[in-house]
Amino acid sequence: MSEERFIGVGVEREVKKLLEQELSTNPKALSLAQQILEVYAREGRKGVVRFVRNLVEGETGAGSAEELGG
Amino acid sequence: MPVLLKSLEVEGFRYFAGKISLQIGEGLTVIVGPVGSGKSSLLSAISYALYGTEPGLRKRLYSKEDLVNVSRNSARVVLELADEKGVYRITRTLLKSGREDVSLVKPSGDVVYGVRAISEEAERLLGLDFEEFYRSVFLNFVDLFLLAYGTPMRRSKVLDRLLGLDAIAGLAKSIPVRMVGEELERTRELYEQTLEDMRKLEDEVQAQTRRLEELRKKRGALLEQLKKLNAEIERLLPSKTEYESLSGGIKAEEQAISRLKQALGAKTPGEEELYVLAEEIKQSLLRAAELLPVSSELRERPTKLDVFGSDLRSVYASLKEAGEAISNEYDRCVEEFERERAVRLHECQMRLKAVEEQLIRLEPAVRDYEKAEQTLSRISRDVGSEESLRDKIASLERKVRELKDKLTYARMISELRRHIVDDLARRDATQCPVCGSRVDRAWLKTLDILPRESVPEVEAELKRNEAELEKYKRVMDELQYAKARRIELQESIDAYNELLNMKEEISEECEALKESLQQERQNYRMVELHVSKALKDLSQLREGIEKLELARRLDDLEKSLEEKRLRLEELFPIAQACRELESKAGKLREELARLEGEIRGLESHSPQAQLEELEERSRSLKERLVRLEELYENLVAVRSAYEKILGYLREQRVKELNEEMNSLLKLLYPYSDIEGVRLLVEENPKTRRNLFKLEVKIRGEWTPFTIRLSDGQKTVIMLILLSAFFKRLSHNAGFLILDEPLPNVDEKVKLMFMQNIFKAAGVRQVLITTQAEDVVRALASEMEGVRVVDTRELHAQT
Repeated sequence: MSEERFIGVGVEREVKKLLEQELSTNPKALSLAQQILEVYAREGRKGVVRFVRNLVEGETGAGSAEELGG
Repeated sequence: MPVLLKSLEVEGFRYFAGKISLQIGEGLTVIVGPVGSGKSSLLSAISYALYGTEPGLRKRLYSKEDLVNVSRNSARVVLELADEKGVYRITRTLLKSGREDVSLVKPSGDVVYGVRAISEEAERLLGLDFEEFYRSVFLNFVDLFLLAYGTPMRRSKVLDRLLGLDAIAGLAKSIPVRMVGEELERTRELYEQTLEDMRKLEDEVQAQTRRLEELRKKRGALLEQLKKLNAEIERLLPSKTEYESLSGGIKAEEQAISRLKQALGAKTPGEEELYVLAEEIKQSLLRAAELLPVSSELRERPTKLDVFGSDLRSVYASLKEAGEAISNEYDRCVEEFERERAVRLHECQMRLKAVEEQLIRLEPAVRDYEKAEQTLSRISRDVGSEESLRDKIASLERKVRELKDKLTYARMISELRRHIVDDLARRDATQCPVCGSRVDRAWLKTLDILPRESVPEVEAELKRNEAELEKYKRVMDELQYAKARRIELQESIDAYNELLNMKEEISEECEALKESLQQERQNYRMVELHVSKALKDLSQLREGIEKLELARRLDDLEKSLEEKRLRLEELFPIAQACRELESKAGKLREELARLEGEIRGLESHSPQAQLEELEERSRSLKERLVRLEELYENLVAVRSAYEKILGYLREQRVKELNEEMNSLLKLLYPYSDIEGVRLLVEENPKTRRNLFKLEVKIRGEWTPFTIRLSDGQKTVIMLILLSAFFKRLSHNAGFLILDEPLPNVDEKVKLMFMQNIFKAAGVRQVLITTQAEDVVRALASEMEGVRVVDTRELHAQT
């Protein structure tokens, strides 16, 4: 079975491009937004909540917490 | 070249138990059949082959195993796709157990295995993931229905989903900014609380340090003071020790004097009085010695003692010695006397006892003799002399013999009479058994007159006489036995009488002995009285002498005590001063110990460690606070960015769709009553949600989509919207799948739609399912290259 995705590939691609424009002046926020996008595409809302909770607790699940502003 | 569908082979999949296959060329392919004949199963098979899932599974309406036909253990789907490189063949086999085997043969001949790898290959090939494929290529009547007849909210949701905007909105909403904000606030409060705790603790540490310094100073001053006091105490201590020792001695002596006075009692005897008592003791001892059979040496010992010419202690010693000697001699004599007296008395009593025992042994004989005498006397009184008794017995013997003869005769006569009477009762005559004479019944009269002797009377008289004879014979026997017994016991009677005399003599002897011994004992009692008095007086003399000595000792003690009291008065002020100094020193030491304890407590319970812990905690919280603040700001920025992107994309999509829809309207809608169509985005002022609003232009006026259009027109507008969406999406799919797309439009609209959808959507293949066979026929007659697949015929293949 195809892996369940919570956001279409095309939309994800499009959003990624727009994020780079929107957050070009804030690289940390951009990195965080990209990671959230990836997590949401794979795991949906629950994945994002878990990811952010890890950041709150100082765990660096999908990347460096310091880089992500945590 | 875009990717096109080439062929589909299905076996054991959903409604198809057997194996079916169909070729899908370019142009329009219409799958026709009644409800439940498997039209949608074929479309589902295409989706499953490409992505391993299909709409029903994704919506969790059923499980994957349910894709296998109920009569089969496995399902197999083979889908061929083609692009400019060649043909791609995807094969999926699904077992009832859920196990799945997948393979993809590429145009190059390479084979790819694995569920995930093949799904990724399909995504890459079509440029669409399943979600995009489902909402753009796989146009279904459910979405059409919701778009055409749903509420504005529902329609907006479907549109958001079709545009892929729902995912972005969901993503933006999923960012838990509030949760991070709350955590940030909590951390900030905790940090501030920790800082406050630290400040308090620092104040506490300072206060403790000040207190410690103060205490240490106080301790130094106390130690100095104590040192001076100790030096003064050391100087005064010998006098105080002497005072205490004297005080203790005086108390002991006072107690001793008190005890002595108590022992002396009220009266102390005089010396003269004690000498007189000693003389009396001497006289008592002399009297006792005279009455005792003692040696002359012992008798002379008190005689030689000069009582008034010696001191009392030696007089007492001599008298005590003499008294004890005489007392011992008295005890010895008394013991000897008692022993002899007991022996003599015992001998006498033993003799008396022996006589009494012999008398007791003879007493039965005496009783027998007396009994025999009594028997003889009674017989003589009852029946007279022995001669008279003999005569009575002889007379009775004679009479008994005569009565026995008389009884025999009477019995014989009686028997003869009975015999003859019995015979004559049976016959007339019989013979006499005695004399043999003939006897007849006449003779019976003669018999009656013969004299008759009464047998019972004779028998009674005989018995009487025999009893009397017997009685006299027994008396005779008794008489003779008594006489014989008397002769036999005569000797014992003589001995008994002699012993009685002897007993009387011995008894008199015993009484005389007892009297003599009583007299002797009286003498000893007198001695005992003298000795007892002497010993009692000796005891009194001893007590008197002791009291006299105690009185002398008491005088000495009282003198000594007076001297000590004078010295004590001298020492009292010094001892008192020393005690006061010692008390003061003790209080100082207690104060010092309390201070030491407090200092130790303060030193050991320093809040420094707690302060360090709080500092470490505050550092950690500060770091966390900084991190959370930065995270919160970034998350806010990220969510804001997503919301902006969402707005931007929504505007972009709407703009693109509006252009595309108006272009498609002209191509796909055969009438001119709808002049234009447009999608607007409006924000609900209450919920602040963006809602899509679809409007159509009729006779130059824009009106809401739902008001002026028929159901068929609504369906066409929605298909135009979906087609526009399909067209503007970037992908490689050259085919479009429509599941029951035009359920309620007229033939002209359908025909125009089908003829122009290829051009409108920019596709080379369209796959449609429908139940309407007349429409299929019309399409087949009006359009070239229409391929019709009847599901009933497909079932017939199996």
